[in-house]
Amino acid sequence: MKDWSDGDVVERVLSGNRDAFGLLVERYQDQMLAYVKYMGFDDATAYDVVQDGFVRAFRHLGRCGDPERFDGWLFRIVANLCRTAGKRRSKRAMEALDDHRSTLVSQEPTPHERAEELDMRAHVESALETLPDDQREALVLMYLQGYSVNDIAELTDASQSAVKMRLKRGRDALKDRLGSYFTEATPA
Amino acid sequence: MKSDERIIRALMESVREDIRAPESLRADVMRRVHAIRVPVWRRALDWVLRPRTLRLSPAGGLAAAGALAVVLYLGIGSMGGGTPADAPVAQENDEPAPTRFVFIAPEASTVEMTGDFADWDPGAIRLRDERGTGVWIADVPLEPGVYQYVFIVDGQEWRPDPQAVSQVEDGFGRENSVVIVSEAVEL
Repeated sequence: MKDWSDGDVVERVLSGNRDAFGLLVERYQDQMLAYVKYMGFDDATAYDVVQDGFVRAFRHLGRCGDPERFDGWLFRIVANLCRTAGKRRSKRAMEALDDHRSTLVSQEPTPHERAEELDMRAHVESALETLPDDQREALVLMYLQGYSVNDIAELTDASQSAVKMRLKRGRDALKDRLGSYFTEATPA
Repeated sequence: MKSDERIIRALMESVREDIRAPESLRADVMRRVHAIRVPVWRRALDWVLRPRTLRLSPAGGLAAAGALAVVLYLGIGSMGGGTPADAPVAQENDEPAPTRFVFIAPEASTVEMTGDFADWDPGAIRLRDERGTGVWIADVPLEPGVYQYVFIVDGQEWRPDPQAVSQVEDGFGRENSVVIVSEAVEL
């Protein structure tokens, strides 16, 4: 059963085997949850968005144009839910900072180095919060989820040139907001 | 790799987490999946519209073509005779008649719609612009009733239907359009 392709699973679900849909949930839940959390949603909202995404995918499974690319179709559902849930996005950067500061004392290698890492993370999270959704999404998909420009174009139903533009603008915006990290790296 | 690109990668890497979905997520999804009752008309529509792969040997293909030719011959032959009174009574169609939605957006690359009848799923229904004139059309089977809906242009912009009978506030600062689907009347 675990050797079934996504297309095989979709076919079985559409034939009435609802339990088979659980395979698709297992395959893609981590990836979808990671995307939603990287897009700035707190844990509880991310959980709800991903759960709703899978349920909607099940409801409309008959309209999945290419069942072998179920993940791409599911991604578009989840991404759309993120857009409509935008108002509920809150405090992820501050939550991350608070969570990690509470464990600061026990972290290696040294408290000072660890504090720098955590501060960098908090700064990057805050900078990402200020980006338009399409730029943030492009940066997340490329740098955190390992997709190529071509993959991102397919996932987001955009042209490759549009994706490249979003990446460029996103990088420029990060450089603008996190300028100190770039000047520190500049050789004297 | 340019130094700026290396720095960007390092900065993005700082927010990477090992994210694993909790066990409860799969269980919660499957609980909701098993609770869903799919309407007969939706199952029928999905069954009809779902693409299938048909495998046929050359001999099988010839046999199928021959059988189709016989059926057509007999069918066409029987149409020449008979009176309207002999015609079989049409079976009552359980599927609702489609309601046509039209949205004019020459600048759009994609137009979708959603509403009460699609659980407000943003990607539920894609309109088509077959002639490339910016006139987007979808035919949606709807039972008689009153429905709210909205169009989504290029996956981003939610727009009400300027041709709708009325608009209502959606409670989130936007407007939904209203369509009234009435019972079919026999004349």
